[in-house]
Amino acid sequence: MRRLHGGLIGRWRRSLQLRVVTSTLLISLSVVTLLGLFLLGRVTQGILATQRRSALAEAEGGLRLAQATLLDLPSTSSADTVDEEIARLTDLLASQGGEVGTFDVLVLSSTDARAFISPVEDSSRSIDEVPVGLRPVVARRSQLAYAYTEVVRRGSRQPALVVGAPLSGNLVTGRYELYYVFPLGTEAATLSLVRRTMLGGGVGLAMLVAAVSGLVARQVVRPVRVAARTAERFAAGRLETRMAVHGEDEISRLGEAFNEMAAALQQKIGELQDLSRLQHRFVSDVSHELRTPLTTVRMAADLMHAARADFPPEVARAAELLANELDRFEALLADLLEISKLDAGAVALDAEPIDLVALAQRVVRGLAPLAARSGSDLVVRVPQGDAAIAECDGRRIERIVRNLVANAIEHGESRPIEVTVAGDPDAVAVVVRDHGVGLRPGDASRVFSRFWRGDPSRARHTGGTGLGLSIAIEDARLHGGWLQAWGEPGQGSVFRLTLPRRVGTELARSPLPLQPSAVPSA
Amino acid sequence: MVGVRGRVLVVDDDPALAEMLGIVLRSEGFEPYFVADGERAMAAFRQTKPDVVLLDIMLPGKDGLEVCRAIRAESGVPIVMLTARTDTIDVVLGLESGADDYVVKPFKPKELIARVRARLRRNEEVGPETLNIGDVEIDVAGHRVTRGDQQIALTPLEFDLLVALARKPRQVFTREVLLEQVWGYRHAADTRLVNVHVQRLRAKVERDPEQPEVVLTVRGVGYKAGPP
Repeated sequence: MRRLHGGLIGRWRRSLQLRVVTSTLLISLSVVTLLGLFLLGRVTQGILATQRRSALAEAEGGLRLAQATLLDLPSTSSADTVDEEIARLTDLLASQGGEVGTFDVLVLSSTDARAFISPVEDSSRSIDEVPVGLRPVVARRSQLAYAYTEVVRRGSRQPALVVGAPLSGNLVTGRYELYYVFPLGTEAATLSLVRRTMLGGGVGLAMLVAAVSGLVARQVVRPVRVAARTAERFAAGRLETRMAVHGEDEISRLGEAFNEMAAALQQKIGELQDLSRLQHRFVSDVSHELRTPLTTVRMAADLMHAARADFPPEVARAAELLANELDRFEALLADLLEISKLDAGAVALDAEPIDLVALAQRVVRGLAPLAARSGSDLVVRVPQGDAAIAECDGRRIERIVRNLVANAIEHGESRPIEVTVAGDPDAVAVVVRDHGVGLRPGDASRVFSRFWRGDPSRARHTGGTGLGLSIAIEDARLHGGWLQAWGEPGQGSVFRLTLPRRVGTELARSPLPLQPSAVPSA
Repeated sequence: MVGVRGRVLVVDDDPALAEMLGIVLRSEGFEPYFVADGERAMAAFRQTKPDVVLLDIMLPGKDGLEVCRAIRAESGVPIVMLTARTDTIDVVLGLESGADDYVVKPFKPKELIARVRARLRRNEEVGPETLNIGDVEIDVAGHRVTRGDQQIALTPLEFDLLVALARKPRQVFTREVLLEQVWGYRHAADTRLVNVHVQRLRAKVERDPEQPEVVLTVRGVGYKAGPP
């Protein structure tokens, strides 16, 4: 039930057509209902007014006759004669009939319970048919009064109009009231027919309007749906996708506009891809062409460096500088090539299950001499105590971790550096924590920018290329992982690498916190 | 100078680099020979019978990969590639063509010499020793690998790899340990070397390389020898 409900809501939100049809149906139904009620009221009033006019005319005629008859009675008449006369009168009045159809006539005594009813043969007629509220009105007034009520005729209840007037007789006869009961069965039937017809017609009309609106909406929505599907395909990378254009209407114009936009985008994307490929190709070629002469220079420099003891001091120092700067030159070249490859998307992930604990330990072992030289204590912590295996490209991940640890040594002010490795069912994290200069506000995101230097005035020990962290973050992204930084001036800094256990899964959270718990957030 | 330690054939088209390589090799006591293009490489190889080949992958004429395959077709001589490309595909192609090891330009002279020495250093003093993995028998002193009556021809490097695994049949070797023991790398190096050579070794010693019985993969760790 709830699913059905949810499905309906979903459909409602997804389908423009459903919304158009529903709202059209609701609006047309309410308009038809209001209109129907108004018309029905007018028709009812009209019919009843006509009927009432005739009924009043009939009653007035009858009243005059009865009044005259009653006054003409000799004052010597006995009570029985009077009763007889009134019963005859009643029958006479009832038999007149006219354009108002059949009606019944009652003459009631105002002083006692005598009642004269015509026709008498039907026992269902009684003085009860005269509405209780009408009699005092009739008794008080001297002219015609009327009220609506319900009577039973031929076994069915139907509305009726009761018209009444006082009959003033003489002393012998006493006072009477004359009542006409006009059953409104015919009028009721007519009104009921009108009501049924209007209800049917109204509902039919509303349905028709809804159907028409549905049809119209469909005609508009279908091309819109096609356009949406086409746009989705285009966004998914199928740049050759186009909309089919028929005719010259608005929808076709939409299609044409879409196709023009798609063509322009495809062209631009193609140009950019070509440009990026070309650029990568160029950087790659330059770097490779540079490598052969650089190798010769490198070997020559090393040869001279090895023999520098035999040179005069200036030349020996020059040989030293040459060899050292060649190292930087090479590192820069390698990093430039790597980043151009990453930029061009020309790298393939060579993923296999790798234990990040072992990897971190290996990196720390490799960098131990550097740490010892700068006086930093370098430890690997494994709080969970066992392997943390993730599918990744070991070469790239080792490069990231080595980069983070080398950075920590460089900026760690000879204070301890901790490398923590931990995992949860979905992800594995490596956190490198130093207690050095830390990062200034805003630097946590800038450290990953190319050629960014934390503090230009600071001397560089390890001579990084300024591209290390930029490459590291690209490598992390390549794995669908995160590389994040935290730091406070004087509190040191934290770099956290989080990798999904399986390539291609989305990371939701990291097994380790980025911000160290010991440091209050500023 | 410590006398001649080995004959090295340098296949490289860049005259300055070739000359510099010659200077460095000679200073380390090697005896270098040079050939500048791929077409003449095989003739020079047959003529000089080198102990190690230094092969530039980018060559005019025949390219380095073809030269590599041609040499491998007739000899197990150690081949060290010189490459300017670090792209996985180039390195793997070179290794699959039969190269034992590679150095990436620009390399330091020491690095190159270390690679060449590692390829030349063989287990000199081995007593008679026979190892078994499955139905494969290894005669360590005689450098022979046989399955039944059939001899399996391995390059010296593949032989060393198989012996390293077979000597400790229960031990799982990480790629890094194998790089150190077989290739002589003291620092972490490219583990693709191990992957490619294990594949080549399997192609030769396994009955079905898809379902190895001699060299087993231990997922997430490395390799180990199959049961004897």
